[in-house]
Amino acid sequence: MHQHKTLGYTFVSLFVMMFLSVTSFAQQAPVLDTSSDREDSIEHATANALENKISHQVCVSFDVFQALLNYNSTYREGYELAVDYYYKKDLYLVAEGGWGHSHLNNSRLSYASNNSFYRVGFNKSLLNRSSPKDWDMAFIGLRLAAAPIQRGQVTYTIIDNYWGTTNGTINATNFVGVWAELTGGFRVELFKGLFLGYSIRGKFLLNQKPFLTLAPIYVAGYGKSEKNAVFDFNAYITYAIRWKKGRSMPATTKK
Amino acid sequence: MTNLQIRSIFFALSFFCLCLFSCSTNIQPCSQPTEFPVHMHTSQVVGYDTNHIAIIRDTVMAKPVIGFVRNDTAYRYAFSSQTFSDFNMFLSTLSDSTSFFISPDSTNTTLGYDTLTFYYSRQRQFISNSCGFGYYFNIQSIRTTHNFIDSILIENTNVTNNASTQNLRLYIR
Repeated sequence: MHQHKTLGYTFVSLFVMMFLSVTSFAQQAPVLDTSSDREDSIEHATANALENKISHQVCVSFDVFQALLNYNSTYREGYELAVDYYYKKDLYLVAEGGWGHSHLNNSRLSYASNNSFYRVGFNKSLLNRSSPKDWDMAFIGLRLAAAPIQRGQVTYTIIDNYWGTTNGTINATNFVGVWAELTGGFRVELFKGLFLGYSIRGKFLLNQKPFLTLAPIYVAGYGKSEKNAVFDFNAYITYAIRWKKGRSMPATTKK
Repeated sequence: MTNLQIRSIFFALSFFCLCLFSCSTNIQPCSQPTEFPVHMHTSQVVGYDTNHIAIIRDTVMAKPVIGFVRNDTAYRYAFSSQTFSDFNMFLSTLSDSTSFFISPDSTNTTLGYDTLTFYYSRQRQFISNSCGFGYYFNIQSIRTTHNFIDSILIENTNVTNNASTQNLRLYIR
């Protein structure tokens, strides 16, 4: 029953995202597909001049995919926010953070854990901006992340078919997880200042030793910590705050 | 490649990933081994050379019986109608020593039984959140009777989840 509900929710989510995607394509297509060679050269020149433009942008993003996972999952809950600032030359400085908790209670293990996490890094856009108002981006990026983790007391049962069952407890502990991330994705401005974006992340645990005693089933920001390398996915709704500053724009702009 | 094409590719990838991750959020049942045996291989002393050095060859046991002793009671846990030369023996997770009895051929009672007693330390080992904990062992010594066993060589003292590691070589007469 729960699987049917989960599947239905997933398909509804996919449909909504697909609709938004098509809407975005429709907005972008005329500008991109009708460009002549002459326009392309003007666009290129304009793109080179964008470093002198007046707009600055800070984006605040909320990961809606985590909310979807929270709804589907029986053992974890996590939330994730991101802030990025356009620095220069298609380079965005990024700070991300969030929190979450998990609990496990099966025939062999029982414990709870919670953590917050913090990431810093950058995104580099791979798309040339067609105008100063073009903030769409496909990007790759790097992150360095840390998470202070609190793991509660563990109750365990070791089932041995030959010799019998062993029960025991392990004291609660606090430790820090550190990992690096390689990320790629894109985001598209659907309405003025409102973006939809996705990112795929490869995460690599840098300090494995604290996880050897017992790796929490879920570390917010990382995922399943019993694996030293994991993949993750984010779907962001982003709101952009822009302001003007400095020199005026050149006269030759395409839009 | 136009910006539109790039965006199309990313959207397609995103939907794929969305499906993938949406389907993998729940805890999987335990599918890993949680008990880690001692791996033993049998060899035979076929004679001695002029310098009194043993001549060794791999051998098999015909229809062997293997069991363990718990609370002074013998429990048979391996019996084979076939011949084989590699055994797995599960050490007790409740104590630091375990005794086994072995008969090389259940059809030939004149060969009798030998008893092997392992002395070891245990180390609790996290396996996974689905499977919980198990025990690794470090073999410290082995004592044996010598009805048909000539000697035992400990090749690797660590009993872990590495199934390719051979721990013991049992030399039979």
